[in-house]
Amino acid sequence: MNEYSETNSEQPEISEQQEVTEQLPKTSGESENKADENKRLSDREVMEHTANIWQYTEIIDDGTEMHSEFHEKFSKTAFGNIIGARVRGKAHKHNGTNCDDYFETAFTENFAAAVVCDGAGSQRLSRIGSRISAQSAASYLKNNLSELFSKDASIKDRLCADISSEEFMSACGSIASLVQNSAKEALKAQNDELLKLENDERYLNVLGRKPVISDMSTTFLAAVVVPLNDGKQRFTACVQIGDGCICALDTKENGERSVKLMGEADSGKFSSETVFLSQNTVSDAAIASKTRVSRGSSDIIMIMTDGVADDYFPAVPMMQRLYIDLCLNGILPMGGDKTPKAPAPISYPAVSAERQNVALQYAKQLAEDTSPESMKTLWEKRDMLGAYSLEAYDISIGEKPEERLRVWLDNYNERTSFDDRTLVIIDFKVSE
Amino acid sequence: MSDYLRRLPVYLLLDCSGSMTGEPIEAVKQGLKTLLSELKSDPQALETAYLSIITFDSTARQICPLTELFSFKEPQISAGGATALGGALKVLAECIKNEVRLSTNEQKGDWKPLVFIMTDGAPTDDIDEGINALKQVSAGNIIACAAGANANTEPLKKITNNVLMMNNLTTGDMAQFFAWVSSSVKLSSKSVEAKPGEAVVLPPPPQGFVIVP
Repeated sequence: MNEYSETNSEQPEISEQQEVTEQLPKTSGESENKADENKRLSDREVMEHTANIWQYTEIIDDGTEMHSEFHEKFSKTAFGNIIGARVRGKAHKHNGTNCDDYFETAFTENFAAAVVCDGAGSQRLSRIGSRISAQSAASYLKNNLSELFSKDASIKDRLCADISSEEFMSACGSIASLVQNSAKEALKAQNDELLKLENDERYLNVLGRKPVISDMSTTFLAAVVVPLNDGKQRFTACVQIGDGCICALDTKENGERSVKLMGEADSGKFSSETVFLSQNTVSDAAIASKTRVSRGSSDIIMIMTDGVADDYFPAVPMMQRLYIDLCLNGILPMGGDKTPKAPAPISYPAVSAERQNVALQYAKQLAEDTSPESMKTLWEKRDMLGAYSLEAYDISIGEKPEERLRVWLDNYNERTSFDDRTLVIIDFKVSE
Repeated sequence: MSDYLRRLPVYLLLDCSGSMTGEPIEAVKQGLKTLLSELKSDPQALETAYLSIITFDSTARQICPLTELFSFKEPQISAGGATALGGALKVLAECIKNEVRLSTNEQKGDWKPLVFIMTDGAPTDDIDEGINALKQVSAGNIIACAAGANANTEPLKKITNNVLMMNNLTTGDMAQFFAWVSSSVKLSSKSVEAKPGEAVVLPPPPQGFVIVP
């Protein structure tokens, strides 16, 4: 396959490598409470304990815009399925706050588009920023890509041309610039919304002042995928501003070659340091460095907020584990014999009003450890893990794929993972 | 996946100099007990917060390395000697350097550390060296509390902009201080998904405490 991938950026800045050492610092006295004298609980033991302490609290209505507890969406297209869901994180449920994530998708017979946004947890109106941004960008992409394809009948052929040719570059540039413009459009829509809210008493009361644009801070991840050559190849153009992950997975490939990252997370030295959609980040110079285009045979495109991405870090190779988790839990098809084999799925009580137990399977239960070698071995068995799937255990977490995605997002447990979670999957495998 | 566990490191720097003898040091011990019990009832703190204690008298030492709450044992502490706050800052810098993980391409870093300093006097050593050592590491958010009438806020203001003054050194006041530390840790662990570049958000200080401008 002719594989092409590029970024317009210079080499991304790599965080300073720091060797982690267990050695205690040299102090002038003796340490009386050494870590190794204490029994360290496993993450699972800690989560089994905290599972019973998490509380479910309804969203507190302060008169400003409220977001639903969750949202799910499924679209069947001529070239594959788009499955998306977002859920309110455990911390938001515990504290009675809104889900700040939002996503929107769009498609025609020529393309699929998805926009995923994560409103800043520290900003009171970020959920509005994420909603407005996702909706306006998806709408912009749908309108403008439709127009582009209708006006320029040759664009698909040009996207199939030699990657060094002028034809390819101009077609690639046309689509990439629309994705970049969708981010600018999202910021403009935020400003328009701000004008509506700034004299609204409900917002003045909640904030104690007039709302400003930074109250709506959100990350922005947009992906456009164009099927080429009767669906054998895909052209993908993405813009990622802030954390989260856009990943193109080729499930026919082995090893790390199967994972292609379509964005940079802009993370800082500490967890949760990121950037947002702003005049600075959508400037021509800045957005060029946040744009990636690719042509190849990747058959699964996943766009997610950090609530999911952080649980699958580093993305190479952990996005392979995410794919296997989606298959084990019935969101994507899973092959292999379905006679159940241990280890069985693990149950935790849902953080919901009902607190029912939800059993889910975890790919990491099937790997020896989290080393790249173990992930490689697991990935090589990806089509033969049916015996560990929920289906093998006769467990159903929903009638439809989007419902299963939502229930899975809402209930998988990782220690220190309690943010909102959003994942959109563009699945071309089903059409192959 | 403990390899990638993101922790909220919390460092307590406690003054154990001679002037803390008697009721104050007993109040500190009781405060620590309450702090642990409070934090253990909060799921976010339980999953994320790791606690370390550094004490200082004539010298400074880390008596509890950064340890998760489930495994944390209350340390034996006693009062006596001078006030080596500068030494404590150097120990803190060394601990942060060795214990706090920064983000790399392979691992998610810890959350920004939360540091609480409690002292009832004035440092008897040079604190500038300690402040310089702290500048070499990303110390995170530092909150200093000057406890009692003899505490000097000036050196603390050189360390951080967040300085609180506790007027008395009674058991009740100390209990309030630790309750406030507990609320601050809970609030920080609640907002761990909060994004960067902002000043640390702390609960309002307890009654009788004054924020030093």
